[in-house]
Amino acid sequence: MLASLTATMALEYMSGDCMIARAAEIIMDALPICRTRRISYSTFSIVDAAADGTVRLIEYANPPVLLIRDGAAVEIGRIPVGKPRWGGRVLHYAEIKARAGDRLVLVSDGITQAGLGRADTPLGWGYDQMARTLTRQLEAAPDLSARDLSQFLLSRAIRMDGDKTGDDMTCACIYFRRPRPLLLLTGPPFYTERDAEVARYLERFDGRKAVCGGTTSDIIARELKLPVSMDMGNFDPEIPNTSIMPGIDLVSEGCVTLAKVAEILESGVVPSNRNGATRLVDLIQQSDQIEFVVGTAVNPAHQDPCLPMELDIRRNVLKRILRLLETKYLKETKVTFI
Amino acid sequence: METIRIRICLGTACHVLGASQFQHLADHLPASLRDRVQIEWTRCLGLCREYSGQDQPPYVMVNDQVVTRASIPSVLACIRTQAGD
Repeated sequence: MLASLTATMALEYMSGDCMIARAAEIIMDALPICRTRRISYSTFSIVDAAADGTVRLIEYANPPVLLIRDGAAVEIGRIPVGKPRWGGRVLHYAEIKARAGDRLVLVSDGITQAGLGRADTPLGWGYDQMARTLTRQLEAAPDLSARDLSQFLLSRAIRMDGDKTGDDMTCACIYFRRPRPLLLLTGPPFYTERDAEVARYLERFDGRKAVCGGTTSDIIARELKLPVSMDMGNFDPEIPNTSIMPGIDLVSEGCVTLAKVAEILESGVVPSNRNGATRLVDLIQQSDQIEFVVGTAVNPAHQDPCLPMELDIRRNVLKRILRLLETKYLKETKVTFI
Repeated sequence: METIRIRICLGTACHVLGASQFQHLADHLPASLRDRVQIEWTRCLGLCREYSGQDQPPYVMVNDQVVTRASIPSVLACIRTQAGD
Protein backbone atom coordinates (compact mmCIF):
# COMPACT_ATOMS: atom_id res chain seq x y z
CA MET A 1 0.00 0.00 0.00
CA LEU A 2 2.84 2.39 0.86
CA ALA A 3 4.58 1.53 -2.40
CA SER A 4 1.39 2.48 -4.29
CA LEU A 5 1.08 5.66 -2.24
CA THR A 6 4.70 6.60 -3.00
CA ALA A 7 4.37 5.84 -6.70
CA THR A 8 1.09 7.76 -6.95
CA MET A 9 2.58 10.79 -5.20
CA ALA A 10 5.68 10.71 -7.40
CA LEU A 11 3.64 10.45 -10.59
CA GLU A 12 1.28 13.23 -9.58
CA TYR A 13 4.13 15.58 -8.66
CA MET A 14 6.00 14.83 -11.86
CA SER A 15 2.95 15.29 -14.08
CA GLY A 16 2.28 18.55 -12.23
CA ASP A 17 5.80 19.75 -13.17
CA CYS A 18 6.95 19.75 -9.56
CA MET A 19 10.75 19.75 -9.23
CA ILE A 20 12.00 16.23 -8.65
CA ALA A 21 13.97 17.14 -5.51
CA ARG A 22 10.98 18.87 -3.95
CA ALA A 23 8.73 15.92 -4.78
CA ALA A 24 11.17 13.48 -3.19
CA GLU A 25 11.42 15.63 -0.03
CA ILE A 26 7.64 15.69 0.38
CA ILE A 27 7.53 11.92 -0.04
CA MET A 28 10.33 11.46 2.51
CA ASP A 29 8.44 13.63 5.00
CA ALA A 30 5.28 11.62 4.45
CA LEU A 31 6.73 8.11 4.67
CA PRO A 32 6.51 6.31 8.01
CA ILE A 33 9.64 4.71 9.49
CA CYS A 34 9.93 1.04 10.39
CA ARG A 35 10.53 0.89 14.17
CA THR A 36 12.82 -2.11 14.12
CA ARG A 37 14.87 -1.49 10.99
CA ARG A 38 14.83 2.33 11.21
CA ILE A 39 14.21 2.63 7.47
CA SER A 40 11.22 4.21 5.87
CA TYR A 41 8.57 2.60 3.76
CA SER A 42 8.80 2.57 0.95
CA THR A 43 11.99 2.78 -1.07
CA PHE A 44 11.72 4.61 -4.37
CA SER A 45 13.50 5.74 -7.54
CA ILE A 46 12.12 8.62 -9.60
CA VAL A 47 13.34 9.40 -13.11
CA ASP A 48 12.30 12.61 -14.83
CA ALA A 49 13.44 12.60 -18.46
CA ALA A 50 12.97 15.62 -20.70
CA ALA A 51 12.79 15.53 -24.47
CA ASP A 52 16.18 17.30 -24.78
CA GLY A 53 17.88 14.36 -23.04
CA THR A 54 18.20 15.96 -19.60
CA VAL A 55 17.46 13.27 -17.05
CA ARG A 56 17.08 13.93 -13.36
CA LEU A 57 16.87 11.05 -10.99
CA ILE A 58 16.41 10.76 -7.30
CA GLU A 59 16.65 7.58 -5.35
CA TYR A 60 16.02 6.35 -1.87
CA ALA A 61 17.23 2.96 -0.63
CA ASN A 62 16.73 1.10 -3.91
CA PRO A 63 19.58 -0.51 -5.87
CA PRO A 64 21.16 2.38 -7.84
CA VAL A 65 19.63 3.13 -11.22
CA LEU A 66 21.86 1.47 -13.82
CA LEU A 67 23.01 3.43 -16.86
CA ILE A 68 24.11 1.31 -19.82
CA ARG A 69 25.95 3.33 -22.47
CA ASP A 70 27.82 1.95 -25.49
CA GLY A 71 27.38 -1.57 -24.17
CA ALA A 72 28.81 -0.99 -20.70
CA ALA A 73 27.57 0.00 -17.26
CA VAL A 74 28.52 3.65 -16.61
CA GLU A 75 28.96 5.22 -13.20
CA ILE A 76 26.46 7.98 -12.44
CA GLY A 77 27.69 10.80 -10.20
CA ARG A 78 25.26 11.12 -7.31
CA ILE A 79 24.82 13.85 -4.73
CA PRO A 80 23.58 12.76 -1.28
CA VAL A 81 20.73 14.87 0.09
CA GLY A 82 19.77 14.73 3.77
CA LYS A 83 17.67 16.72 6.20
CA PRO A 84 18.02 16.79 9.98
CA ARG A 85 14.37 15.74 10.33
CA TRP A 86 14.98 12.58 8.26
CA GLY A 87 17.12 11.09 11.00
CA GLY A 88 20.06 10.02 8.85
CA ARG A 89 18.03 8.82 5.92
CA VAL A 90 19.66 10.00 2.69
CA LEU A 91 18.35 10.61 -0.82
CA HIS A 92 20.64 10.46 -3.83
CA TYR A 93 20.19 12.97 -6.59
CA ALA A 94 21.76 12.84 -10.05
CA GLU A 95 21.46 14.61 -13.35
CA ILE A 96 22.70 13.15 -16.63
CA LYS A 97 22.50 14.06 -20.28
CA ALA A 98 21.15 11.02 -22.05
CA ARG A 99 22.52 9.99 -25.44
CA ALA A 100 20.79 8.05 -28.16
CA GLY A 101 21.12 4.36 -27.38
CA ASP A 102 21.37 4.84 -23.58
CA ARG A 103 19.34 2.62 -21.30
CA LEU A 104 18.37 3.24 -17.70
CA VAL A 105 17.37 0.20 -15.67
CA LEU A 106 15.49 0.58 -12.40
CA VAL A 107 15.10 -2.42 -10.14
CA SER A 108 13.88 -3.27 -6.67
CA ASP A 109 16.12 -5.29 -4.35
CA GLY A 110 14.02 -8.38 -5.04
CA ILE A 111 15.86 -8.51 -8.36
CA THR A 112 19.43 -7.87 -7.15
CA GLN A 113 18.94 -10.37 -4.32
CA ALA A 114 17.54 -13.09 -6.56
CA GLY A 115 19.19 -16.41 -5.81
CA LEU A 116 19.57 -15.53 -2.09
CA GLY A 117 20.43 -18.60 -0.04
CA ARG A 118 21.60 -20.71 -2.96
CA ALA A 119 24.97 -22.42 -2.54
CA ASP A 120 26.56 -20.54 -5.46
CA THR A 121 24.91 -17.19 -4.65
CA PRO A 122 24.42 -17.09 -0.86
CA LEU A 123 23.77 -13.32 -0.89
CA GLY A 124 21.93 -13.28 -4.19
CA TRP A 125 23.44 -12.77 -7.63
CA GLY A 126 24.11 -9.11 -6.80
CA TYR A 127 24.03 -5.82 -8.63
CA ASP A 128 27.24 -6.32 -10.63
CA GLN A 129 26.26 -9.76 -11.88
CA MET A 130 22.83 -8.38 -12.85
CA ALA A 131 24.51 -5.52 -14.76
CA ARG A 132 26.81 -7.98 -16.57
CA THR A 133 23.82 -10.13 -17.54
CA LEU A 134 22.12 -7.06 -19.03
CA THR A 135 25.15 -5.82 -20.97
CA ARG A 136 25.75 -9.32 -22.37
CA GLN A 137 22.13 -9.53 -23.48
CA LEU A 138 22.41 -6.11 -25.18
CA GLU A 139 25.60 -7.19 -26.89
CA ALA A 140 23.66 -10.09 -28.40
CA ALA A 141 20.60 -7.96 -29.21
CA PRO A 142 21.62 -4.27 -29.45
CA ASP A 143 18.14 -3.06 -30.51
CA LEU A 144 16.25 -4.88 -27.76
CA SER A 145 13.22 -2.85 -26.72
CA ALA A 146 12.82 -1.55 -23.16
CA ARG A 147 9.84 -3.88 -22.71
CA ASP A 148 11.77 -6.96 -23.84
CA LEU A 149 14.81 -6.02 -21.72
CA SER A 150 12.60 -5.68 -18.61
CA GLN A 151 10.96 -9.02 -19.33
CA PHE A 152 14.34 -10.63 -19.91
CA LEU A 153 15.72 -9.36 -16.60
CA LEU A 154 12.61 -10.34 -14.69
CA SER A 155 12.57 -13.86 -16.08
CA ARG A 156 16.31 -14.25 -15.34
CA ALA A 157 15.77 -13.10 -11.75
CA ILE A 158 12.83 -15.46 -11.29
CA ARG A 159 14.96 -18.31 -12.65
CA MET A 160 17.76 -17.39 -10.18
CA ASP A 161 15.17 -17.74 -7.43
CA GLY A 162 14.31 -21.26 -8.57
CA ASP A 163 11.13 -20.15 -10.40
CA LYS A 164 9.49 -18.87 -7.23
CA THR A 165 10.28 -15.34 -6.16
CA GLY A 166 11.54 -14.88 -2.60
CA ASP A 167 10.75 -11.15 -2.62
CA ASP A 168 8.66 -8.84 -4.77
CA MET A 169 10.43 -7.95 -8.01
CA THR A 170 10.03 -4.70 -9.94
CA CYS A 171 11.93 -3.74 -13.03
CA ALA A 172 11.59 -0.80 -15.41
CA CYS A 173 13.77 0.09 -18.39
CA ILE A 174 14.03 3.37 -20.25
CA TYR A 175 15.56 3.25 -23.73
CA PHE A 176 16.60 6.58 -25.29
CA ARG A 177 16.03 6.32 -29.02
CA ARG A 178 14.28 8.03 -31.90
CA PRO A 179 10.47 7.56 -31.83
CA ARG A 180 9.18 4.77 -34.05
CA PRO A 181 6.28 5.82 -36.25
CA LEU A 182 3.51 3.48 -37.41
CA LEU A 183 0.90 4.24 -40.06
CA LEU A 184 -2.34 2.32 -39.74
CA LEU A 185 -4.57 2.61 -42.75
CA THR A 186 -8.10 1.26 -42.48
CA GLY A 187 -11.26 1.64 -44.53
CA PRO A 188 -11.78 2.75 -48.11
CA PRO A 189 -11.89 6.55 -48.65
CA PHE A 190 -15.40 8.03 -48.76
CA TYR A 191 -14.73 9.33 -52.28
CA THR A 192 -13.09 6.73 -54.49
CA GLU A 193 -11.28 9.60 -56.27
CA ARG A 194 -9.03 9.77 -53.20
CA ASP A 195 -7.89 6.13 -53.38
CA ALA A 196 -4.67 7.06 -55.20
CA GLU A 197 -3.84 9.85 -52.72
CA VAL A 198 -4.15 7.46 -49.76
CA ALA A 199 -2.04 4.82 -51.51
CA ARG A 200 0.74 7.34 -52.28
CA TYR A 201 0.71 8.56 -48.68
CA LEU A 202 1.19 4.99 -47.50
CA GLU A 203 3.94 4.39 -50.04
CA ARG A 204 5.91 7.45 -48.94
CA PHE A 205 5.43 7.02 -45.19
CA ASP A 206 8.73 6.63 -43.34
CA GLY A 207 8.01 3.99 -40.71
CA ARG A 208 6.11 0.79 -40.13
CA LYS A 209 2.91 0.25 -42.10
CA ALA A 210 -0.29 -1.67 -41.43
CA VAL A 211 -3.33 -1.96 -43.70
CA CYS A 212 -6.50 -3.25 -42.04
CA GLY A 213 -9.42 -4.21 -44.26
CA GLY A 214 -9.99 -6.50 -47.24
CA THR A 215 -11.28 -3.82 -49.58
CA THR A 216 -8.69 -1.33 -48.29
CA SER A 217 -5.82 -3.69 -49.04
CA ASP A 218 -7.25 -4.41 -52.50
CA ILE A 219 -7.33 -0.64 -53.16
CA ILE A 220 -3.68 -0.29 -52.09
CA ALA A 221 -2.60 -3.30 -54.15
CA ARG A 222 -4.42 -1.90 -57.21
CA GLU A 223 -3.10 1.66 -56.84
CA LEU A 224 0.50 0.72 -56.07
CA LYS A 225 0.45 -2.27 -58.43
CA LEU A 226 1.58 -4.57 -55.63
CA PRO A 227 0.86 -8.29 -55.45
CA VAL A 228 -1.22 -9.32 -52.46
CA SER A 229 -1.89 -12.87 -51.36
CA MET A 230 -3.59 -14.44 -48.37
CA ASP A 231 -1.37 -16.10 -45.81
CA MET A 232 -3.20 -19.32 -44.98
CA GLY A 233 -0.38 -20.61 -42.75
CA ASN A 234 -2.23 -20.49 -39.45
CA PHE A 235 -5.98 -20.70 -39.57
CA ASP A 236 -7.60 -18.96 -36.61
CA PRO A 237 -11.39 -19.40 -36.42
CA GLU A 238 -11.73 -16.19 -34.39
CA ILE A 239 -9.69 -13.72 -36.47
CA PRO A 240 -9.57 -13.75 -40.30
CA ASN A 241 -6.20 -14.59 -41.82
CA THR A 242 -3.71 -11.92 -42.74
CA SER A 243 -2.34 -11.28 -46.22
CA ILE A 244 1.11 -10.55 -47.55
CA MET A 245 1.99 -7.41 -49.53
CA PRO A 246 5.59 -6.32 -50.21
CA GLY A 247 6.68 -3.33 -48.13
CA ILE A 248 3.71 -3.52 -45.75
CA ASP A 249 4.39 -4.91 -42.28
CA LEU A 250 0.86 -6.18 -41.72
CA VAL A 251 -2.17 -6.63 -43.99
CA SER A 252 -5.22 -7.77 -42.05
CA GLU A 253 -9.01 -7.85 -42.15
CA GLY A 254 -10.67 -4.70 -40.76
CA CYS A 255 -13.52 -4.59 -38.24
CA VAL A 256 -13.22 -7.99 -36.52
CA THR A 257 -9.45 -7.61 -36.15
CA LEU A 258 -9.67 -4.03 -34.84
CA ALA A 259 -12.41 -4.98 -32.35
CA LYS A 260 -10.11 -7.72 -31.02
CA VAL A 261 -7.20 -5.25 -30.84
CA ALA A 262 -9.37 -2.93 -28.70
CA GLU A 263 -10.28 -5.87 -26.45
CA ILE A 264 -6.62 -6.91 -26.03
CA LEU A 265 -5.50 -3.33 -25.30
CA GLU A 266 -8.29 -2.98 -22.74
CA SER A 267 -7.37 -6.20 -20.93
CA GLY A 268 -3.62 -5.66 -21.26
CA VAL A 269 -3.15 -9.39 -21.87
CA VAL A 270 -1.88 -10.38 -25.32
CA PRO A 271 -2.92 -13.95 -26.24
CA SER A 272 -0.01 -16.13 -27.31
CA ASN A 273 -1.49 -17.17 -30.68
CA ARG A 274 -0.30 -15.28 -33.77
CA ASN A 275 -3.14 -13.73 -35.75
CA GLY A 276 -3.93 -10.37 -37.32
CA ALA A 277 -5.01 -8.88 -33.99
CA THR A 278 -2.07 -10.03 -31.86
CA ARG A 279 0.37 -9.01 -34.61
CA LEU A 280 -1.21 -5.55 -34.80
CA VAL A 281 -1.00 -5.17 -31.01
CA ASP A 282 2.71 -6.09 -31.26
CA LEU A 283 3.27 -3.47 -33.94
CA ILE A 284 1.46 -0.85 -31.86
CA GLN A 285 3.42 -1.70 -28.72
CA GLN A 286 6.71 -1.45 -30.61
CA SER A 287 5.78 1.99 -31.97
CA ASP A 288 5.58 5.42 -30.31
CA GLN A 289 3.81 7.65 -32.82
CA ILE A 290 0.79 6.02 -34.36
CA GLU A 291 -0.94 7.71 -37.22
CA PHE A 292 -4.37 6.48 -38.27
CA VAL A 293 -5.71 7.21 -41.73
CA VAL A 294 -9.33 6.16 -41.65
CA GLY A 295 -11.47 5.81 -44.75
CA THR A 296 -15.07 6.51 -43.87
CA ALA A 297 -16.84 4.63 -46.65
CA VAL A 298 -19.29 2.24 -44.98
CA ASN A 299 -19.99 -1.19 -46.32
CA PRO A 300 -23.84 -1.34 -46.14
CA ALA A 301 -23.65 -5.11 -45.69
CA HIS A 302 -22.00 -4.54 -42.30
CA GLN A 303 -25.12 -2.72 -41.12
CA ASP A 304 -27.28 -5.80 -41.68
CA PRO A 305 -29.19 -6.38 -38.39
CA CYS A 306 -28.51 -10.11 -38.76
CA LEU A 307 -24.81 -9.55 -38.11
CA PRO A 308 -23.51 -9.90 -34.53
CA MET A 309 -23.53 -6.82 -32.31
CA GLU A 310 -19.75 -7.08 -31.86
CA LEU A 311 -19.35 -5.93 -35.44
CA ASP A 312 -19.25 -2.31 -34.44
CA ILE A 313 -18.73 0.47 -36.93
CA ARG A 314 -15.08 1.21 -37.61
CA ARG A 315 -15.07 4.71 -36.17
CA ASN A 316 -16.44 3.52 -32.80
CA VAL A 317 -13.79 0.81 -32.49
CA LEU A 318 -11.05 3.27 -33.42
CA LYS A 319 -12.31 5.73 -30.83
CA ARG A 320 -11.82 3.04 -28.17
CA ILE A 321 -8.35 2.16 -29.48
CA LEU A 322 -7.25 5.80 -29.60
CA ARG A 323 -8.41 6.48 -26.06
CA LEU A 324 -6.54 3.42 -24.79
CA LEU A 325 -3.35 4.27 -26.69
CA GLU A 326 -3.26 7.78 -25.30
CA THR A 327 -4.32 7.14 -21.71
CA LYS A 328 -3.09 3.61 -20.94
CA TYR A 329 -0.19 3.10 -23.35
CA LEU A 330 1.03 6.73 -23.52
CA LYS A 331 1.39 6.74 -27.31
CA GLU A 332 1.28 9.81 -29.50
CA THR A 333 -1.61 9.45 -31.92
CA LYS A 334 -2.90 11.29 -34.94
CA VAL A 335 -6.09 10.59 -36.88
CA THR A 336 -7.16 11.70 -40.32
CA PHE A 337 -10.56 10.78 -41.70
CA ILE A 338 -10.75 10.58 -45.43
CA MET B 1 -11.73 -33.13 -66.87
CA GLU B 2 -11.85 -29.43 -66.08
CA THR B 3 -10.76 -28.06 -62.72
CA ILE B 4 -13.52 -26.71 -60.51
CA ARG B 5 -12.38 -23.46 -58.88
CA ILE B 6 -13.74 -22.72 -55.40
CA ARG B 7 -13.26 -19.22 -54.02
CA ILE B 8 -14.12 -18.70 -50.37
CA CYS B 9 -14.69 -15.16 -49.15
CA LEU B 10 -13.01 -14.35 -45.84
CA GLY B 11 -14.26 -10.75 -45.72
CA THR B 12 -15.67 -9.34 -42.50
CA ALA B 13 -19.35 -10.18 -43.07
CA CYS B 14 -18.57 -13.68 -44.37
CA HIS B 15 -16.21 -14.35 -41.49
CA VAL B 16 -18.67 -13.36 -38.77
CA LEU B 17 -21.39 -15.47 -40.41
CA GLY B 18 -19.27 -18.60 -40.41
CA ALA B 19 -16.81 -18.70 -43.34
CA SER B 20 -14.19 -20.35 -41.12
CA GLN B 21 -16.16 -23.64 -41.38
CA PHE B 22 -14.72 -24.01 -44.90
CA GLN B 23 -11.25 -24.70 -43.56
CA HIS B 24 -12.56 -28.29 -43.41
CA LEU B 25 -14.12 -28.25 -46.89
CA ALA B 26 -11.36 -30.33 -48.46
CA ASP B 27 -11.97 -33.12 -45.94
CA HIS B 28 -15.60 -33.37 -47.10
CA LEU B 29 -14.91 -33.65 -50.83
CA PRO B 30 -15.83 -37.01 -52.35
CA ALA B 31 -12.75 -38.95 -53.46
CA SER B 32 -13.89 -38.80 -57.07
CA LEU B 33 -13.72 -34.98 -57.07
CA ARG B 34 -10.71 -34.32 -54.87
CA ASP B 35 -8.24 -33.98 -57.73
CA ARG B 36 -10.54 -31.71 -59.72
CA VAL B 37 -11.24 -29.10 -57.07
CA GLN B 38 -8.99 -26.11 -56.43
CA ILE B 39 -9.77 -24.20 -53.23
CA GLU B 40 -8.76 -20.52 -52.87
CA TRP B 41 -9.34 -18.09 -50.02
CA THR B 42 -9.95 -14.44 -50.84
CA ARG B 43 -9.84 -11.32 -48.66
CA CYS B 44 -13.25 -10.28 -50.00
CA LEU B 45 -15.25 -11.19 -53.07
CA GLY B 46 -17.23 -7.95 -52.69
CA LEU B 47 -20.52 -9.80 -53.06
CA CYS B 48 -22.07 -8.43 -49.87
CA ARG B 49 -22.46 -5.08 -51.65
CA GLU B 50 -24.48 -6.70 -54.44
CA TYR B 51 -26.65 -9.15 -52.56
CA SER B 52 -29.20 -8.35 -49.87
CA GLY B 53 -32.24 -9.73 -48.08
CA GLN B 54 -32.19 -13.52 -47.97
CA ASP B 55 -28.99 -13.79 -50.03
CA GLN B 56 -26.71 -13.35 -47.07
CA PRO B 57 -23.06 -14.15 -46.41
CA PRO B 58 -21.04 -16.27 -46.22
CA TYR B 59 -20.41 -16.36 -49.95
CA VAL B 60 -18.53 -19.01 -51.86
CA MET B 61 -18.02 -19.09 -55.60
CA VAL B 62 -17.95 -22.41 -57.40
CA ASN B 63 -16.56 -21.48 -60.82
CA ASP B 64 -18.91 -18.59 -61.75
CA GLN B 65 -21.77 -19.75 -59.56
CA VAL B 66 -22.33 -17.79 -56.32
CA VAL B 67 -23.45 -19.82 -53.31
CA THR B 68 -25.13 -17.52 -50.78
CA ARG B 69 -25.61 -18.44 -47.10
CA ALA B 70 -23.02 -21.03 -47.96
CA SER B 71 -22.53 -24.12 -45.83
CA ILE B 72 -20.40 -27.19 -46.49
CA PRO B 73 -23.45 -29.21 -47.74
CA SER B 74 -24.64 -26.41 -50.05
CA VAL B 75 -21.14 -25.88 -51.49
CA LEU B 76 -20.71 -29.63 -51.99
CA ALA B 77 -24.08 -29.76 -53.79
CA CYS B 78 -22.98 -26.93 -56.10
CA ILE B 79 -19.64 -28.65 -56.77
CA ARG B 80 -21.46 -31.85 -57.72
CA THR B 81 -23.75 -29.93 -60.09
CA GLN B 82 -20.78 -28.25 -61.74
CA ALA B 83 -18.99 -31.58 -62.03
CA GLY B 84 -22.07 -33.05 -63.73
CA ASP B 85 -22.44 -35.73 -61.08
